[in-house]
Amino acid sequence: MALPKRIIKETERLLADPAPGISAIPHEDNLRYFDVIIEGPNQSPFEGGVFKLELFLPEDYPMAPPKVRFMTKIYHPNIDKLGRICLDILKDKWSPALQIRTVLLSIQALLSSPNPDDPLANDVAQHWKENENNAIQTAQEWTRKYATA
Amino acid sequence: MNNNSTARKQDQDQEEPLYDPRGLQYVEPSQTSLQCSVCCEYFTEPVSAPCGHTFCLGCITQALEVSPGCPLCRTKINPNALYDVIALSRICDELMVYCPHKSLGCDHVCQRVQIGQHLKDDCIYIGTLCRVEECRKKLLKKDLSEHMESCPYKRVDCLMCNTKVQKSQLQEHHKTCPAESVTCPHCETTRTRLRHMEHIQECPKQIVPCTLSEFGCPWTGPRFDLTATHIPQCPYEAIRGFLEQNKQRVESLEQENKHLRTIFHDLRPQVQLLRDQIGSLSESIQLMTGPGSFGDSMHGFVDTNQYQYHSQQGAPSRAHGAILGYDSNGAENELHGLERSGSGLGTVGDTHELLISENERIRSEIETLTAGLASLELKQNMAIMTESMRMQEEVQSLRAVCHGLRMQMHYLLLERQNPHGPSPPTGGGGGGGVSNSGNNGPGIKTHGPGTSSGGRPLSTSGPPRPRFSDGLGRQDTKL
Repeated sequence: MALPKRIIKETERLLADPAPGISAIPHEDNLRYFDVIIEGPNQSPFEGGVFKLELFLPEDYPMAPPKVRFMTKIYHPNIDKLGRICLDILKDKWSPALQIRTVLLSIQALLSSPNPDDPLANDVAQHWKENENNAIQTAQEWTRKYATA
Repeated sequence: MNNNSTARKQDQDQEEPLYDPRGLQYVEPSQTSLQCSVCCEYFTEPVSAPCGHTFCLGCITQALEVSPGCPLCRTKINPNALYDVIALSRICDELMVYCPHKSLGCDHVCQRVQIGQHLKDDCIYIGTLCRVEECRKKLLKKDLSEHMESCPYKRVDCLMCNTKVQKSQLQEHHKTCPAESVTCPHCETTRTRLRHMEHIQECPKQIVPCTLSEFGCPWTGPRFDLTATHIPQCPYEAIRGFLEQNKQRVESLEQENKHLRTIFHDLRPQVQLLRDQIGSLSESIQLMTGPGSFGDSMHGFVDTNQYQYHSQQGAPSRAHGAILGYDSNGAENELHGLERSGSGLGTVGDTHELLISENERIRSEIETLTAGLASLELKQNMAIMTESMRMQEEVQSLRAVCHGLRMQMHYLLLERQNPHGPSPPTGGGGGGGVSNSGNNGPGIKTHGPGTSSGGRPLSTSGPPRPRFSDGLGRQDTKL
């Protein structure tokens, strides 16, 4: 199966002109599989953290969304303890006009603005709603503990 | 006209996969405003949706199959509402592209719309096939003419016979070409090969064997010598009639032999079947006489014992007779049949022998079977003897027990008649007498304690038992 030209183009652009705070590097043996690193955005509980993710482009990409998962533990109402991400554009709101770059930017934005009303990790979301300051503190602790290089 | 159009169509069919329009390399690759947001390439067949967004026709069709919204603004799109954007299409067609065979060495650059033409007519780096049907070698167009010169499958004219021959086989052809002139190796005259084939049949100088060589005549010599000098002297010629007759007879015998062989092959499964039947029969005999169920009760045992004894005497001999009769009859029948069909033929001997040996084997098998049966009978008798001995002993012991019981009954009856006895059923107990409860307890377990508790005078069972039951009786009275 040949690699579609769009994937090659996207990869070239990701490597040549990476988005700030984001790096995505494809595996040598499987060019559909990327090692991603996202830096925790400023003024968020994840500031200073370096989060590892894996990204996989399925066979029917770009008609189907890429599969993305956090490898680093993170205390976030929309990310569960297995690293799965609750983000609409990764599911039903996917559009073939979106790209790896836009997906990763959206995930970075999700770190800046957690959405406890559409939770994936229920206990974290509950914590966030009941005592936001305390929850943010926990998130900062987790970031220090797990996400500092 | 019609032919022409179909030819062109075929041409297109061949050339169509020559390049992938989406795989083209553009001279100026990064004018993103002219690129489709789905495939990230310059538009091919651009179409616009009512929302104003433009995509390649292929891309948007594929995207709408997955989700009905515009990939850019999610407005619902009806696939029928898409319309061509002709100006954009022209602009994109005018973009300069490299020839897809740039890596092979073609440095042609032209507008995208012209690349098909270039590949079809001009590009010498395009893959093509050798035109010779048998060759069909894949090569670049630029190498074709060179290849055609040396293609081993190319047809060349044979200068002798004027037929077309593959170039690689020309050498070979010269060896068989009918127009080639050949010199007869015997008489050293020269003619064309076609004629030579006829000549060699009658060349007078060719060395030939005697016409009766098949019967053993060792003579060989030039053909002209054969009829002139050899035949009149040939010793085989004198008995020619006999030899030929003999030959015919051998042939007919061979045929008959073949026929018999097929008959034998047909008979073989039948023999196998018979053998199987004998096997199953002997098995059933073994089952019948084998050490089987001994009766549970005495009567049952005696009955079966008698039955088995009878059957043992009867069955083996009957079965044996049956087997022998059946087998020998069947086998002999077959043998007779064979003999009849093969009478006067020596070659039937081996089939005959085979059948006889088969018969012999079956007979010996039966013999071993009867020996086995005899030994089984012996074993069976021994088993019955020991079993009946044991049973006798058991009967004796039972008889003794019965006797004891009778005596006890006797005693009890006597006691009941006796007014002094410890008869009151509720009685807590006479010192020497035994209470009912005390009597019941051990009485259930065995006969022994019952008798002893009833009275010592009987004492058929051993001495420890009365002591035990006495103790129990005493305990009961204490309670």
